[in-house]
Amino acid sequence: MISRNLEIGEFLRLSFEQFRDLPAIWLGGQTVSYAGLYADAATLASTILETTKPGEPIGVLAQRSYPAYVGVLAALLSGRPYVPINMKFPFERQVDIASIARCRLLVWDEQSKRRCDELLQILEPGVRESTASLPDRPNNSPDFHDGRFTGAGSNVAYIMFTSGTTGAPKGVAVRRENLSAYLTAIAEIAPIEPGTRCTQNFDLSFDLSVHDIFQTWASGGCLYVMGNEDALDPVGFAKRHALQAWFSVPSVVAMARRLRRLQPDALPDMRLSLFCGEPLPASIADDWAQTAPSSRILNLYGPTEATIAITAEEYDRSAASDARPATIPLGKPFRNSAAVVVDSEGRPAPLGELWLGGAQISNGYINNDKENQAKFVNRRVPGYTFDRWYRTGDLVQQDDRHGLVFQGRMDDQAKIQGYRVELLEIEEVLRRASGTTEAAAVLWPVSETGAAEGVVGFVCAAAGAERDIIANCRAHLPSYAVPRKIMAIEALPLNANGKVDRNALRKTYLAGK
Amino acid sequence: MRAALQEIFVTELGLKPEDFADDLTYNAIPEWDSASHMAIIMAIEEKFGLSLESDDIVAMTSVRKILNLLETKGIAVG
Repeated sequence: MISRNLEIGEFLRLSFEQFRDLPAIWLGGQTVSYAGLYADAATLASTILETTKPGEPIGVLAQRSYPAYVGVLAALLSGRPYVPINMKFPFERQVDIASIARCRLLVWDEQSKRRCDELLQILEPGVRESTASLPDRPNNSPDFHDGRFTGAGSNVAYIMFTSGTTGAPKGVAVRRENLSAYLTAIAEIAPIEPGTRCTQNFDLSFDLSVHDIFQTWASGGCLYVMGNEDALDPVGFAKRHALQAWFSVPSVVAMARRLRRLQPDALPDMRLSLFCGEPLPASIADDWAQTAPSSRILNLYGPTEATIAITAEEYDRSAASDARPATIPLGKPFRNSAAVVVDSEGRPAPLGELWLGGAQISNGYINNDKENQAKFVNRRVPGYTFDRWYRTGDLVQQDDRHGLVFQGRMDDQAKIQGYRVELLEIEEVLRRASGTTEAAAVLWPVSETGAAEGVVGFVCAAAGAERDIIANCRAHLPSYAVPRKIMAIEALPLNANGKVDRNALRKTYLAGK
Repeated sequence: MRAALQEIFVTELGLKPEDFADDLTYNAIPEWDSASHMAIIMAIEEKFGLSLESDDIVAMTSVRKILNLLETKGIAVG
């Protein structure tokens, strides 16, 4: 077996060579082998080497298409960070992402070519563009030892943008070493065999897609890319293709349950099911255990800043359901990582903020010293060897019986359908969109398991009709963060600390509707 | 029925009425994603007094398909 501790570019080259004859990717009915995919990535990587300097980021303006995956692989082979730019995001956000990251080449697909041209008009001069196409006759004998693909030149693997509190997205720069550390750790906890058919549910702009892509390709598995329409029925997709490894947010399963797709033994081939991105309710895990009776089920936890996931807890099929907490705990930290609950002074405590340290802690935010200073601390924590920590903002209890148990957020960050959002960002956009100084964003509706499905905006003395305010928000926010409704009220209720009381808004205006 | 469906799309997705068209498809616009799809389905069930099967729900991926399906359920396209 090839060591995952090798430099990631070297590791990928060896891995693709080892699995050269196996299928690497399935897309819309067509399969491409490891050799064929590597050949196309090598072609694009050559273009990248010729047209950009070491370390210059590559924007991937493609989604669920062959050029997207070729682009991601080519960027890593050529030693350039890749930056996913989601086509579902508003134009202004795409411009922000490409400019903040300083992308020097954009990879487009058929659906995004026009948008790519529009971006090139706005971005600084000299940004290049390129693409790839599904091969009619794949090249099955690429040069796996091309000395140009050493990965030298950049220590950053990808830059993933998340919601920022000020209205502009912030980019997290994850190092190549961080990704290697993750792949090493996950191979121990949740290994898969060569040939395993794996889901690819996540958008590339969601860092859990990095697991999909690279854990699959590091293991010789085949990535099954769901088409847009398949996203409505991912369980049906998994069933049709007899998929064996699953990765999604729990909300996807909650929706499948509403659609009555969780039938006993519906997924007999499933061997490994991973959940991440939001708390995993025990009831969802119970139903999934019936749907996929031969599958291990693991709850993963981790913020983008700590590279995909950093703790895991295995669901125990044999435990009586009344012996379990209502949500599956976060579990234990991966090898070479640490997770410690601290009090406000940074001392280990039974209840407090969760700090993360170790090999997966990223470089932090690009061009954002203020946030870096607030979120990353250099500190000795008694009992730990790491001295750089990421402050998650998650309130966590260290419980003897269940390990780390998530208790909520310490700030205004939230998850909507598993996507991370800052309510402060939505409120800032709402204020601008409605011409008011007083606005609040409240998570709503909330599913029976407690997961937020959307957001509702409250405004005082707004200028403009509800529809116009929503349209205005849509121009600035990803669709999942756009308020579904705008409610005009006289004044925002405040709590004892003088902050907007979102719970009161929820109870007064939304509960019971 | 068409006007009622248009109203549902305008309300649930925040679309302009003129953007409602037969060839509008799921996921072709950011507004119509998997979460808003469920909101559309619930509004359709309520408006037309239906209880849709899950196979129908996952097949209703364009305005044309929804109109055709509603027609098979005996709801006249007007």
